This record gives sequence, C-alpha cells and structure tokens, in this order.
Amino acid sequence: MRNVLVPAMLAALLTTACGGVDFEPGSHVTSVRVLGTRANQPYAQPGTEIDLEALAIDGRRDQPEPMTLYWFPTPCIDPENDGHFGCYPALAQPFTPGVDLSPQLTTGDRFAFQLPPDIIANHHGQRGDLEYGLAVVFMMACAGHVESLAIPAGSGPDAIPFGCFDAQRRRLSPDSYVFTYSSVFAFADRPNQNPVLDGVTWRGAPVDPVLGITLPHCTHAVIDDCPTTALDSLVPASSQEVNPGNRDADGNVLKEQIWADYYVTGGKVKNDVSALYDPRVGKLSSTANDFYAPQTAGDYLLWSVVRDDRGGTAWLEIPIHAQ
Amino acid sequence: MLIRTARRHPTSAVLGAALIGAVSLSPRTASADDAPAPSPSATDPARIQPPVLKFDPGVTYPEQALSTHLFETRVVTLILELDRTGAVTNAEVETPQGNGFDEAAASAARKLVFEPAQRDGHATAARIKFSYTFQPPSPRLVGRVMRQGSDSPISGATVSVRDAAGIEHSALTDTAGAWSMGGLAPGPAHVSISADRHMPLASDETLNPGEETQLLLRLAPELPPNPTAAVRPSEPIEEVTVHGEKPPREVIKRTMSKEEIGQIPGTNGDALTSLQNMPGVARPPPFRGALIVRGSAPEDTHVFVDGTNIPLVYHFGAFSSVVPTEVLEKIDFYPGNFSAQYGRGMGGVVDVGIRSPKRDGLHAMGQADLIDTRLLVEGPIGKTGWNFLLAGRRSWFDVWLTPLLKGSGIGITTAPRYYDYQAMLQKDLSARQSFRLLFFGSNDDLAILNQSPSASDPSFGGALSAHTAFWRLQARYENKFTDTTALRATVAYGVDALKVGLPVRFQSTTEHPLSNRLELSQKLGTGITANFGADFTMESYDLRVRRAPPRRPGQPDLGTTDTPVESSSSGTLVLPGVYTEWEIVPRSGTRIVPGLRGDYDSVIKRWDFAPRLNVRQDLTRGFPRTTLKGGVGLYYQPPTPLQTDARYGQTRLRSNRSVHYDVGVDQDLTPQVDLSVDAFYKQFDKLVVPGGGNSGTGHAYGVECMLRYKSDERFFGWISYTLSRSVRQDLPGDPLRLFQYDQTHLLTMIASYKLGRNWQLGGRFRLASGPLATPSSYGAFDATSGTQLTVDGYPAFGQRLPLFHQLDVRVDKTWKFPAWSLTWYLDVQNAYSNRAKEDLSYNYNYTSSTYTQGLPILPSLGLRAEF
Repeated sequence: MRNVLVPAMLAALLTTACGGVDFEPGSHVTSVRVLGTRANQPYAQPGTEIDLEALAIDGRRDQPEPMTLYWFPTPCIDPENDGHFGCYPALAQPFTPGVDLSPQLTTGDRFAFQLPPDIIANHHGQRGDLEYGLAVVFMMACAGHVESLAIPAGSGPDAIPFGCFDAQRRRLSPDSYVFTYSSVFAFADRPNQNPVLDGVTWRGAPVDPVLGITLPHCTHAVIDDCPTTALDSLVPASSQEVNPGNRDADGNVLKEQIWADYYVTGGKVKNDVSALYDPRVGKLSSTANDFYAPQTAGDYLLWSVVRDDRGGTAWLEIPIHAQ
Repeated sequence: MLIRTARRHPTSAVLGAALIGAVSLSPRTASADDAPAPSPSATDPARIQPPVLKFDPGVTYPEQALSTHLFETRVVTLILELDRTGAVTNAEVETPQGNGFDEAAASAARKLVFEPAQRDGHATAARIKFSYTFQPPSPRLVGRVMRQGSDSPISGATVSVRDAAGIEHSALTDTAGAWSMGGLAPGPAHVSISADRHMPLASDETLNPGEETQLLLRLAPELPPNPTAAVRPSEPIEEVTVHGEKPPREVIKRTMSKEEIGQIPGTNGDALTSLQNMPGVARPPPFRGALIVRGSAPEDTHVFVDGTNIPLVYHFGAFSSVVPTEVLEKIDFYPGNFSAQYGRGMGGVVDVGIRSPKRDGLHAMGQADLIDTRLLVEGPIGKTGWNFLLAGRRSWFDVWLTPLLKGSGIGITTAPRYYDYQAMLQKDLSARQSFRLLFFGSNDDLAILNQSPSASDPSFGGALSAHTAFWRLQARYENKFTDTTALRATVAYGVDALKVGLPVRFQSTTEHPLSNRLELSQKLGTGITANFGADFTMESYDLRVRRAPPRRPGQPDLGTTDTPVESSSSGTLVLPGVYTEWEIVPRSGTRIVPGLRGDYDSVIKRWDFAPRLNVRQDLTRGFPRTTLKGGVGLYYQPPTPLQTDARYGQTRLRSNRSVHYDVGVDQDLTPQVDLSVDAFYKQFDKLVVPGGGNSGTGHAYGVECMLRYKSDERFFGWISYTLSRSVRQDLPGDPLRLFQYDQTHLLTMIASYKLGRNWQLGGRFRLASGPLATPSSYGAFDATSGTQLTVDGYPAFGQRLPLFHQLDVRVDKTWKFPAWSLTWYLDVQNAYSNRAKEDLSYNYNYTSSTYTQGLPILPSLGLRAEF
C-alpha cells in the first residue's frame, strides 16, 4: 500500500506554496513556440479524414530566418506501447543525416491525413481491455531547415533524431525550433469534441478579440510589483463532456478535465495554467488568472489555449495594447 | 531486564590425583639411573622411600568433553616414570577414558614434580601409579546490572545467589555494573539484586554444569517514600518488566533504547525516524522518510509491530512515524541476514516492541509541539490484575500549513491532518503466562483543490485527495511452559486502506489482512534450542487503479500524456509461511544458527524456500569482549498485487530474490564504548521489472562502522559511517546503473549530554553523498496536451547531486515537582541552514536547470508533562 503519490503531492504543494525557482515563465513567449495543435476530431472513427491545425509563434526578437512548420508526411500508426518515441527509428530511417530534408516535408500550419480503417484492429499497444487506435503526427517548427541526425551511441530512445539548422548548416538552439507530436486516438464509439472557447474576460467583462485589451503600461521596475487585472477564459459547461473512460475509485463515471494555458509576448500571467473544469467538481468556482501589465508601452499578444484531457483543443488570440 | 545466555565455562581444574600405587624403584646401578625397574617383589621395602609430590600445576576438565556435553566424574589412572630428580619422564594411561580425559591427564602429569624416591637414602628413578579425578566444572554466573531507562551501569550493587546446595554466594558489581560468580552447585538458583536507591529485583535460573549463564538485569529507580504514591523520583521511572533476551539469532541486530530515541536531535523524538541514524540506512528523499537499507528499495524493508506487519511507516510527509515513541519498549533493527522468523522481504526488518502498561498506579503524559499533540494514560484496572494503556496523537498541520497553501492560491477542502491511536489490555495470567490485547491504527487525510496546476503536468490540478489508514487488533499469548519450552502466539486482524486520487489518475486499495504467528521454542539439551514457527496471512483485497502503467526501463515516463489503464480486481491472498531455526551452542563462545523458511504465495502459486545460516564466535571471554560474526542466507520477496495485476502489471511473475552475506566483528573498547564493523554483500536476481518479467539483477555491498558510547547517567552518542554501492541491471544487455537510492558515503555523529540542573544538550551532524538524479534536456513537445517532454539521461539516475551536510541541535529542560514533571524542548533541524540539494528543477523547456533545495532551518518547540 506504500505509495509515493502522497509525498509527491506534499513536495509539489510545498514547492508551490514556498515559491519555486525564478525561471522565466513558460507562458512568456520569446522564442519559436508551438502553443498547440487542434484536430477537427480529437477522438475519431477509423478511416476518418483528420485535419490538424497548429498554433505556432515566433517570439524571437531577432529573426535571421523565418519560422516554418515542417510536417513529416507519414503519420506514425500504432507506436510501441503508445510511446511517440517508438516512431523515431521508422521516422528517421528514410533520411540521410546531414541532408536538408525540407523538400521532402510538408509545410504550412495545417496537415491532413486519413486514419487507417483497421487502426483499431491492428493496434498492438492496447492497455487493459480498451479498444482504440493511435496515430501520431510529427512536426517541427524551425527557423531554418530540418536535417536528420546521427544519434550518439548510448542515447535513450527518446533522443530526437532531427535537428534544425540555419543556412550555414549550423545547428540551431532550442530558441529556434520546437519538435512536436500530436496524438489522434481512434475509437469506434467514443466521440469527443473540441471544447468551445467563447472568449476571454477582462475584469469580468468579455473582450473583443479584434480590438483586444488596452491598458496603461506598468512603471514599476519589478513586474511582480505591477498592478494585476483578472483574466479569465469563457468555456461553457457543455464543453465538459462525459468521459466514459474515467471512473473514480468509487466507480462513478466522471467528466473531462479542462484547463487553460496562457501565453503572452508582453506582461505576465500569474499562473501559466488555470484549471477550469474538474472531473469530479465540475466548473471550478474561481478560474480567473492575474495579468500583470507590460512594463513597456507597445502592442503585445495574449493567447488562451483551452484543452480537455482527451485531446480536445481550442484557442483564442487577443491583442494587448499597453499605452 | 534480564538477558540470559548459556555459554560453556572454561572449567577450572579439579585435581583428583592421588598417589595410590605401589612404588617400583629402579635398581640402583652405577651405570644408569634409568635402567628398567625391577619387579616390586624384588625390592626391599625397608630401604625404599616412595617419591613425594612436590609441584602440581593442576588439570583442566577437557574441552572435548565439554563440547560433547559430557559432565561426569571420570578417573584416569596413569603409570608415571620418574627419574632421579623426581621429574616425570613418561606418563602412560592405564585406564583410558576418551573424550580428551586421557590427553589432559597425561599432559598434566608431565608437569608434575616429585621429591625423588629414595633407595638406601639415595635418590633413584621410580615407576608409580597416579590418578586424576576429573569433576565436571561448576556452573558460572556472570552479568551486568544496569539502570532502567538510561541503561547506565550501577556500581556497588549486591548480587546474591542461593544455589541448589542451599549455599549463599554474593558479589558486588564493578564500575561497569559487571559481576561474576563461580563455584556454584548445578541446579536451580535464586538470584537477587539490590542497590541503593533502586528497587530490588530477583530472578530464578537453572544452572547447568560447565555452562556460563549471562544475566543482564535492569533495576528501576526506587520510589521515594510518599504515601500518595505515583510520585516521580529524581529521575524518570521507566516501567519495564523483566524479560529475557537471548543473543540475537541474526548476524547484526541494532537496538536503541527509548531514551536515546527520544533525545536524538533532528528527529523530534520520533521513533522510526531515529533509525535513519543507524549505519547502513541511507538518507531518504525529502518528505518520504523511507527506510533505505543496505542498497535496497524502501519497499523491501518491512516493519512489524510485535511481529505483525504494518503497511505504513510514516504519517503524511514523513514528519512522524505511525507508532509514537511513548508506547515503545524498543526497536530492533536488522539491516540484513535476519532470522528465518521473518520472510517476504529482501531489505531489512524493523520490529517495534510495544511496552506493557505501567502497574504501579495511574500515569499520564501529554506533549505538544508544532508537529502534533499526544496524550497517554495507563495503569492498573483496580485489583483485577489487568492493566491498560490508552494513547493518541493528532497533527497540527492544518493549523500552520492551511494558511500557507491558501496564500498561494490552493484551495483546501480537507485540511491535511493525521492521527494515530493505541489501546492495550494486558494481564499476567500466571508467573509463566501472559495475555495482551492491542488495538492500534493510523489515519491520514488530505484534500485540496489546486486551481493552478503546473504547466508540466496539468492533470495535477483540480480536486486532489489522499487518504491512507490502517488498524490492527492484535492478541498475544505467551506461555513459558517449562524452563526449556516456550510458546508465543500472535493473532491480528485489521484493515489497510489507500485512496489517492488525482482527477484523472487514482489508486484505491482496501485490504483485510488476518495474520497469525506462532513460535514454539524447545530446548533439546545443553546448547541446543529448536525454534519452530509458522505465520499465516489471509488477505482479501479490492484494488482499483487508473494510471499509466510503469514503462519498461529505459523508456521515458510520459506522465500526463501517457495512456492510462484502468483496472479493478478483487481477491484473496493466501500467504502461509513456516520456518525452523536452531540455536546451537557447541562450545563456549560459539553460536550457530541455521534456519530454513518456506513461504507460499497464492498469486504466483509457488513456494519459496530460503535457507539461512548465522554464526557468532566470541574470541575473548568477559571484558573486553571480541565477537566475530557472519551469515549467509536467501531472501525472497513476492511481487505486489499491482505488479501481478492482469491489466496493470504482468503475469507469470516469480518472487524477487536476494542472497545476503555479512561478516563482522563486535569489539568492546571500554565498559561504555564498543565498536561494530560489518561488511555486507547482497546479490539480487529475479527482480521484477516493468515489462521485463523477473529480468532484473544487481548487487549492493559496503562496510558499516559504528563506534558507540552506551548511554550512562550523563551521556550517550555514536559515530556511524557507511561506505556502500548499489547497482542494478534491468534487462539483459542493459548497462549496469547506480541504484536510485545509492549513497556512497554516510556519516552520522550524535552526542547528547546532561548538563546538570536537568538541562540536556544534544547535537547531530550528518554528512552524506548527494542523491542521484536523472538529468533531462530539451525534448519533444506534446502539442495535444501542451506538455513539454524531456530527453532523459540514459541510464537513469546518472548524476550525483552535491554533498549533503546538516547539523541538528536539541535542548531539553525538565522541571521536576513532587507529583509530576514538565519538560520543555527545542529541536532545531538544519541549525546552520544549509539547504540540501534534493533534486534538479528545470525551466519550462528543460534548457536550464537549478537545484531543488530542501528546507532551511526548522525549529520545533515542544512541551511535555508527565505524572
């Protein structure tokens, strides 16, 4: 009965409560970032045509080469034990290290593919008696071009076999690329819709996504001393679907978990993530986040990316005008 | 307390020699004095003077006879040839007795010196008959008299022994509390001890010829003459009933007294936390309090309360263990090579002894500090012969942690808190029988509403709850039928419950273990005791789990993004075990303990048989004692229900296996100081590996040293150092990697000193190799869940974090009043606020890292009242 979850919870809570290390928050976009991908059907039936859309941002101050989204054209079906890294050997096999792969990859912020009709029948990584299939799509947001890498001996199976290189064939740092994967599950009879993001509220009032938010910039030297404004994401209760695969310890079927990830190019959000709906509790009573005004006047962007725990995603981009 | 051992004594020589034969004098010749002697008939008695015994160094009862337990009077007759000087030139046995008697007699006879025989007034050679009568050596009693509680020696105590012949013997204890007595008649003996300002104590022993019996008796301080009774004397009264304790069956057994446990700085007086100061026990990760023993995983070490296994060692956050120090009698800790009476574990064993209630009136204790509050009441129930004990403890976390968490935006639905409880009824049914009923348990609860989860694990948000609880109702019956036969039976029933719930991941288990343990000890003869035992556990369980199963070693943990598996199962585990263990004392100072244990597991449907052998050999007798010890044994540990779950785990598993080797030496340096050095090697195989069946192998080895100053009236302390290494290989072909909990160096220094005026000051300094961490770097981004993943270093746990060092200080002050006492204490952990490097923490995409630091200085103030 010994369990490590309790001490892990306590350690995490005390770390949270006592404050963590002062790293730049992940919500602050200052590099090439992929904030999310959205499938037209997060849970789809076999044989369905899937459209994937990516939300990627180039937050670099200097951009010697533009960011491009490179999709690997062949989705990986049924990776070993559902681990995306199980696809790496097959994904890298057609390519020769040191060669620019960009011509062989699909570019753009969208990618379409069809789930194989037999994706469930041929699924080997089944866990428990749940019948499903899994397709994994790989994409690299890269401010340069993509090359295959020779993986050093002794590396773990999750070592990424691709890198992002500039025109001089120098390998770029993580500021200039993101290697992503998106998972699409196939179920015969378990649909899932993307959550609906009706909008963002500012001090409790809805924000026009075109006009955005206008506010005075903060004059304090330390951003944590700046005044804060309540920011929230409007997700209707109907977005929280029943999750037949999630029953609690007492056997009750629960609903989805929904949360919002926030990203900004200026200013700061207090929490990178806000929980919106809990599988047991339902809509949480206090979901607002605090926004700290930028310390410099200018135009910035804020994104709310809402996700459920079954692959559903929605997002909204809001301009911020700091005067 | 009485420690009773039987050790054969080096018998003192009993000279039964007598000049009994006729003297044959050699003819006086001019040519040679050693000419063959004429026949006696040819001599002239009127002119012959027989030789006269001048020097006799004595003879020793032969070791060979002792080792075969031959305790009989034997006569050996010899023919001695003497030269003109009276020296023995030849000794020939006339009536052989075997068993070493003949050799002993002949050897002793060659050292005899005679006044030479005379013929006509002149010295001459002679042949004579000479007999030795060997009497079996008398029993010998040795022992020490100690003060209860502090375990310090009492000098000047009077030890009186009335032996089977009705003869009174007496001795005084020396400064080390030691005494010895020989020349006792075999048979029953009555031993009584008296000392100033202490309660007298008596014990009945059976003394066997040629055996040395060791007694360790602890005297309680005398109650002051106060008609109101229940009055505290000048020092705490520790009610500890006299009981016997043989030398351990194990190679190594470490025992801490209750007083030491309560005063070790940095542990807040907690019982099981104090074990982390023993050699071989690694420093655990923060908030875990795990017992990491000799390179084994925490779950490999089992904790028993008077022989009944408990599922939980520590409360929430490991601030305190589930059994409070106040109800303890002692903690026995076996880091390896433990007795065959314990099974199903590959690490160490901790056996917590709960003390019996006090019988000299009603007593109570109350204590409060920043961690918890505890109460205890005990005493006799009228004149029924029954005694009771009630104790309970509740934490204060909800008072100081709740505002802290709320301030950080975390909603509290159930404030974190724990409590535990103990209730006991005990009665001595007769001088040889006792019965005890013990009910104890523990309950921890926490529920929070985390609305700001981490970006690296968004599922760690929302409604989180953790509930862990267990209780046991234990009945124990002891009967010492005769001096050679004893029975101890324990039956326990209880419930273990765990419910840990994250919104999308949870584990819920409920178990109902019914266990019993029976041991029969039978002394088969001098030097041989056979122990036969059986334990049986039947455990019905309900298991519900929804988590991603652990991945095969080398595969990264995908955390939130991994596909969870839900499993629900119920069943009954049947776990019978049988063992036999023999304690053989073939000769003085030698102790051989072979054992064999068999365990059955109804899930894997297999019996595991584990032979074990432990040996101790005293190289010296009395003080300073030097003891060599060694052991080898096989240890099995069955897979857990989660590991054998059809959906979550694997099928066709077998038990994990380990072979323990240990060699060591115990050396008395002074009456108060001893040194213990042990080298150990543990070989692991058939380890259960996720996705790999029983493919895991590994080994752990090291050296443990402990220099200990035994508690006296003012001081106790020790220095322990462990040098060790523990490695594992998960799958064939995988690299050998450091085990997650490996710690190369581990140094602990503890000292506690009573300053006078009831002030006590103590310190603890620890130095340990840093924990191991798996370095992570920038990996793939899961765009579906928005989670940044890592590329983990391979193999795992390849980075050693910086050295850990910490000083803890404790100050106690006690005010004593006629009927009660009040103690104030300050326990300061991490006195110079060196924040330990516990782990690595990273920025959002794992491109920069820093150390996760432990707690800074942490003072804890407490108040304790007793009457």
